[in-house]
Amino acid sequence: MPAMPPTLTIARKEIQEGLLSARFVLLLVLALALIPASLYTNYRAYEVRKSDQVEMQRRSMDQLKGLSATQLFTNPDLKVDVYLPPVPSSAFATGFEEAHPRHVLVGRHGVEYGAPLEVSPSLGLFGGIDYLFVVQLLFSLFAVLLSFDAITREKEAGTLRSILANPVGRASLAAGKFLGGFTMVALPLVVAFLAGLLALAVAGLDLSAGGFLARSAWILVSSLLYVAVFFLLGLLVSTLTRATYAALVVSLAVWLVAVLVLPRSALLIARMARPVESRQAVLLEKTAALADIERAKGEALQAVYDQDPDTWQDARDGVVAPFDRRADEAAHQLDQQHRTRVDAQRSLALAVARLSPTGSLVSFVTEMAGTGLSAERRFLTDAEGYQDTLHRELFAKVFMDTLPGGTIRMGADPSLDIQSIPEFRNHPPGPLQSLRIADLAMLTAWGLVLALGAFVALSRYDVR
Amino acid sequence: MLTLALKEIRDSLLTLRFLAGTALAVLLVAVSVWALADDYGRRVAGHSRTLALNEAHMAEYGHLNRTGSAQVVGVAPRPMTVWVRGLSQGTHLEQLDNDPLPVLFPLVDVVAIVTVVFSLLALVFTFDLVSGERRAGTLRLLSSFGLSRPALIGGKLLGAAGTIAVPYVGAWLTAALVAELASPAPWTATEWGAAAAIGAGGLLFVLDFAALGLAVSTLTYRPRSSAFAVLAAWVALVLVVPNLAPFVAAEIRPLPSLTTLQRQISRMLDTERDALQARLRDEAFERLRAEDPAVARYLRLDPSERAEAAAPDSAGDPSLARAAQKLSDASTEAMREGNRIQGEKADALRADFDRRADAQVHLAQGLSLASPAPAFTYLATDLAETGLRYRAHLEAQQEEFSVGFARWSHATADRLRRNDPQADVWNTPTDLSDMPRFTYRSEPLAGRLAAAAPWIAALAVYGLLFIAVAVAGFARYDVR
Repeated sequence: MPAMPPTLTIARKEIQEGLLSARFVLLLVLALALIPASLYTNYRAYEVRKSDQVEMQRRSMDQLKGLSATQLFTNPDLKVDVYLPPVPSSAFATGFEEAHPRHVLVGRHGVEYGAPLEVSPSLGLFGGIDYLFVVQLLFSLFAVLLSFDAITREKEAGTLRSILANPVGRASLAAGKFLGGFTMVALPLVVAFLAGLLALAVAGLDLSAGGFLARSAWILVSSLLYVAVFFLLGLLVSTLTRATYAALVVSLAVWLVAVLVLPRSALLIARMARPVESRQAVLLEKTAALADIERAKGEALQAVYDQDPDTWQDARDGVVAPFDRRADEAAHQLDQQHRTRVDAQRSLALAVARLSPTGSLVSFVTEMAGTGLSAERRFLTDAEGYQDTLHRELFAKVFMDTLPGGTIRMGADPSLDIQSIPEFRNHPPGPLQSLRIADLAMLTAWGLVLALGAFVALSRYDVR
Repeated sequence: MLTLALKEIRDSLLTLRFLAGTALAVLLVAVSVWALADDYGRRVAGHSRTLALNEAHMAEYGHLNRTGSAQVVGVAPRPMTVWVRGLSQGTHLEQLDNDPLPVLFPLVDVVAIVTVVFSLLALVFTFDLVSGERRAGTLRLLSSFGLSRPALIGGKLLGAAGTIAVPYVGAWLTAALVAELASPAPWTATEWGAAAAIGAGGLLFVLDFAALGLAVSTLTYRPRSSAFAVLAAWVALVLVVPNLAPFVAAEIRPLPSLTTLQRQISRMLDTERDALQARLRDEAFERLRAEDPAVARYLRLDPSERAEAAAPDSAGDPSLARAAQKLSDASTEAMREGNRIQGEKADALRADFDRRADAQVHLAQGLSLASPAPAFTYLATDLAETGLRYRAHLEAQQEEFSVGFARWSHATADRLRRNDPQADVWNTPTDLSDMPRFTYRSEPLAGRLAAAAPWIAALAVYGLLFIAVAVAGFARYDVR
């Protein structure tokens, strides 16, 4: 039998030792308890949200189509509720689903955020558990815990010298330690992940539909990369320190900063560097600007109505058009300004958060699960598209003019057919469109840099 | 015992973990409070700008019908969110502004730093106090000095408490100093009182973890296994239990979704109500028909003749007109009665939903007390008025306000109508400067402290429990 390469021998030894260790057993138990259960529960919560969404959307359309002609005129501020359908992959990462409005109001002058939908009353203070939470916090911590003493332990036990006395290069030692140790973290993750998919199938999800498996696979790949990064981080710390204690303190401190501090400070930093006014302030500003235009329009129309009471209908359109255009432009400009600022703030926050591998993981997984930032943006874009439709089919066809004296004139285009107004459609991205290569690249880069660091540090390590 | 405690403190003051931990904690606290103070200032500015815009808008275009938007301009940001963000992080109590980022990356506040960093620090200081001495061989020496084992463990605990208290007090003072310097609105005496109580509660929480570390250290023999056991305990207590509790509570006491509730209520107030009203009206008509022959005669008339007969000044039979009036009154009464019955049913359904939601929250709170970490969060958010108790108070005050607001609206409408009976008072521009404005009335410190008492008790119980385990564990410890 040919001799096994030393890397594999060491890896096998690590696995054999690891399989019996308390850390491995605990991680496996935790993962098997939390991942399938959270996927199952979150999937069921998705189903409830889905049926609620269908019902609310239908109710909103019924309300619109049940409006009489008079109601259409006398409601110049008429707004149509539009809801973002939830996606089954939200079971992996609830993202902003719980707290963020999946509901907007489409009106004459743009799209407004609706009030947030219900938040489960007991989730307020702590938030729930999802797959992302388990990988982000627990697996990263265990990865560090499994590797922080990989080298120092052998040194303290005196076995490091005897290993290196054999024909084993330091590179093989590092590679073997990584392969063996990483398997011990990856194994519980993969096993629990598969058990989770099974739980989803039991809950009634058709796994083969809508690219769900592709999304799951990408999520698993990014999770494994992420766990590898933290394993390598522990390994690097282990090669840079002489004693197990010091290795523990340093790796915990680094873990704390990378996982809990850096990503969570990102938004604070971004808010300080690029402040944005509240959406409500923008809304009020918009209302004030539109009211000014409306008043000027009333004054202009007064003259038209005064001139010739019989033919005002024809003259009206010519007078009104520039005002309506101005109103649309003003509303659009204010919205656009606000959005540009929000985007600038967000991209800074994301850039800072991505300085940590955790930021990249959160971004990648929430995007892939369809609950990330771009899902919200896409929903808004779709809602704006729908606003154009409504504008063409509805808002432009009814009018109510308020003249300076308080007189009201209203009318409707005869071609208005409220029953034929199309329903809102949203366009969820496919798995490939949700793929954030940049995040994967960041995770890979972290892994390579840490591996290189560990290798260099080990080659200079004093094994005595 | 004191000598031992002093030795422990002197020993640890120069260690890497102490220096690194203290530096990290103080730096984190300073940055977090500074950033949150800045954020708070921005929110205050945004809030007053929103108020000003709203006032200007109402001054220029104020109709009674438009005051709805004036009622929801939002609540002033809570001053203590500089320390304790509390509920404002997820549910949007302050404004209808929704930013998904804090949900993806929750912000770090003093509570999070104490809960996550200081608990970890306390464990790192204590996990090898006994097992480490055993490994170094000094434990045998120590136990030959004639100290009783409980005294020995007491000395260790005091020493650990002293050691962790140094960075903790340092961090607390830093947080107070930065809050004073950076917060745009100086805190009142009540807020400082609450801050002191939060500090004391946090110290109790951190000491719980010091006792836990010591207890684990007396149950294990090698520092490596101690380290692993305390970290496993930390993961469970700090990361898993708080987030798992609401999940489990929702499984045990499930709630129908709000949409389901709304669907049931709208059915009650719509089709069911119409059916009930029709039934009540038919019953009343039937009764009247049996009682009064004029009614029976009237009902036999062809519907086209009824209007003629019912007119009070009609030339026909006056008893028919009276019968028509009776029927019309009975019909109105049936409408009213149907509205009342269904309205009460809907109210009962809503009240039942609220009761069940409260029960779920209570269960989640109870379950989360399987760890001291949520107790500290509840304590801090109740004291800072940013948590569940604040939300309940806010909702009650808002409801009270909207009742008062409706009263004011109707009084104003009546006044306008008296001045000009023809006017459409709800849609006419009106001076609304005397409209009520909502301000939240803060709870006095005594009430907040009373609310925090159970959480302090929970933290104390955990401390005593861990100390008991440490004493018992050390009593049977093999010092060799």
